[in-house]
Amino acid sequence: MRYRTLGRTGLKVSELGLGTIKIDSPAVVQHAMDLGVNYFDTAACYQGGKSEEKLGRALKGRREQAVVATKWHTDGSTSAKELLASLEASLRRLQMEHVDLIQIHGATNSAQVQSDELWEAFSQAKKAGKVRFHGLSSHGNQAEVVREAIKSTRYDAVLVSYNALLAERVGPAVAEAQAANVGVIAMKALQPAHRSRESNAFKGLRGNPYQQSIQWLLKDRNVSTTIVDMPTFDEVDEDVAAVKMYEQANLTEFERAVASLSLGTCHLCGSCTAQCPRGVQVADIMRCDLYRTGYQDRARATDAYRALPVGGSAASCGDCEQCGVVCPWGVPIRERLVSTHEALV
Amino acid sequence: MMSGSGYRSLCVAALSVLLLWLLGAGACASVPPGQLLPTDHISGWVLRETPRTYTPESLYEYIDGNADLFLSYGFQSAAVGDYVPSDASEAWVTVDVYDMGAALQAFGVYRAERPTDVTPLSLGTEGYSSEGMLAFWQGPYYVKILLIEGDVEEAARRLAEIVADRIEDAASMPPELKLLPTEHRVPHSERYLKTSALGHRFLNEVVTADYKLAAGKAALYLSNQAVPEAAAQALAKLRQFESDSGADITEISAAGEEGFAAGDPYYGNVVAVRLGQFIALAVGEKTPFEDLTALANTTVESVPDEREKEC
Repeated sequence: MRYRTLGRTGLKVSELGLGTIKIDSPAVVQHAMDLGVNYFDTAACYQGGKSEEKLGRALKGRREQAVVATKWHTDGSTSAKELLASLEASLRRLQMEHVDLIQIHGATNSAQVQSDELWEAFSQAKKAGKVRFHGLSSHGNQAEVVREAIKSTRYDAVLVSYNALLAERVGPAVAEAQAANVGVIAMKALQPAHRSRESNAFKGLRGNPYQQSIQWLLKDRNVSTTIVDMPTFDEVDEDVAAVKMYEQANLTEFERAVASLSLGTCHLCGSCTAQCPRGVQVADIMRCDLYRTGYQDRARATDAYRALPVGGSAASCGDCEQCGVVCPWGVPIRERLVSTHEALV
Repeated sequence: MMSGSGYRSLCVAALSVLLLWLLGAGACASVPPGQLLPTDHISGWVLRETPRTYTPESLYEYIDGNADLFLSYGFQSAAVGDYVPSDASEAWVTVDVYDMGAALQAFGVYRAERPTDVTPLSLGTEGYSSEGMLAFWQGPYYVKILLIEGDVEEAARRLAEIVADRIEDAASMPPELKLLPTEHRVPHSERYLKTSALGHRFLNEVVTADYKLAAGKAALYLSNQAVPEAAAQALAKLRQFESDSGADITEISAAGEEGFAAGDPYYGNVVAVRLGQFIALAVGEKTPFEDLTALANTTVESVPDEREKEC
């Protein structure tokens, strides 16, 4: 197992980390540690708190060898008192005196990232020796959230969904984080491999798409570690094997397969701008769809859609016999406009 | 020693449970979870807005990465209602109704999330209150009520009761649990693991419970592999895993068709016994092998054996 530095924390973290959403067997955690995994990610809400309990039991006697990250929730106005209470509960469940990294869980907006109450809570916890570093996780609106985190200078690390499918959308922000010495932890590394199960794009691919998904990620030196949910011994072994071979892995076929998966996916290239003769604001609606389905930020998608000018929405899309808007990436424009309209109105 | 007629009755009961498990025990034709949410004025509380609904693809929007746990237990759909006082005072309760597709799966995710320290509640098939929330399960539904803001315990309880009343499915424990011996079983330790018990990809469809034996603690896992050939392969893989780990393996004479005992480097003492499509595993860090063997044997004796013509 090799190790990278997690940004300005200075922590040496294994290139493969363990996600604990589905953790059940402490033995699997110990097996991962035996193979060199030292980064463990959990959260107060995983399995109603039992993920932290199980991780704590698994790491008993080996705490010093592990880098442990957990999470707390803020909506931007959550008080420092509530946050500190959440941290105390996490430490109790983990049976630890401190965690190495405390992260906002699922940050999507500036209010969360810039919260002074959050910073106050972190500062107090750090002073008390209960946390060492400050971070955030983000599923939606990630690029913007990462840039906010960099700008604030309060964040030592960010946890984002990042993989071969998200390279264009999230890659630039990941590079900016690394340049600002903010550590990057990647999740959802296996998303391309999961997509391969229902797509012909990976037909004939030589090798294991799960391993290649991890290898693709680790070839990006802007990433410090990737956390993967590995609830079985087999999955630990398979993923550790992938890490051992990534430098020499030839991923040309894999990348070609991922590119063809991207067909039918909006790249926000803007080619559809002003193509509709009726004035439907196609590019803006595609962005709303991205907020909803890609960033999983329904609130933002709804707000943006409702802010479209009269005549700009897809309300009248059914009136045209045939849609004249052509997308170079093969996105079925009318179908996507109608589904977005139905979802957000 | 059980009498012939007593054994026959046990076989019939066990076969019934087996049939239910094979057919997807509790796989209910469920109503959409949104229809279980109260929509009328409820004792001074109203819905803040139209309930939100989530599918397997969109559940992440609501519960982030925790969605993976629900998906692993067969999540179908969810509806979420936010309730506020009709007098606009500052208080808020959120009701989550998850359709897990089958009673066993609802039980599974309920027990997976149930914190260690809770106050039991008479709600649904099983329920509890914990800091800031209530939860219960019934039929294929898993319901969580989150006390978001204000002094809302009474309102939360009322909402939970309304939802429970609307669920038409029987409030009964999954029949699969009947295959686990009751003697020495630790109350409320039963769980259902849909996949990957003990960290092994091949140990699926598992009911498990903890036991307090005279000689020590044990955890029992009963895996239904659907057909005997799959169970034989799974046992072989387990034996290989133990061997590769450097464990000493001893073949044991089991009530089933085959079995072994091993000193597992992670779990301590492990006994595995197979009968037909079932594998029973008894695990105890320092519990003597003979006690674990007795527990595993007792378990397989209660499952139907296709070799028994009388059954």
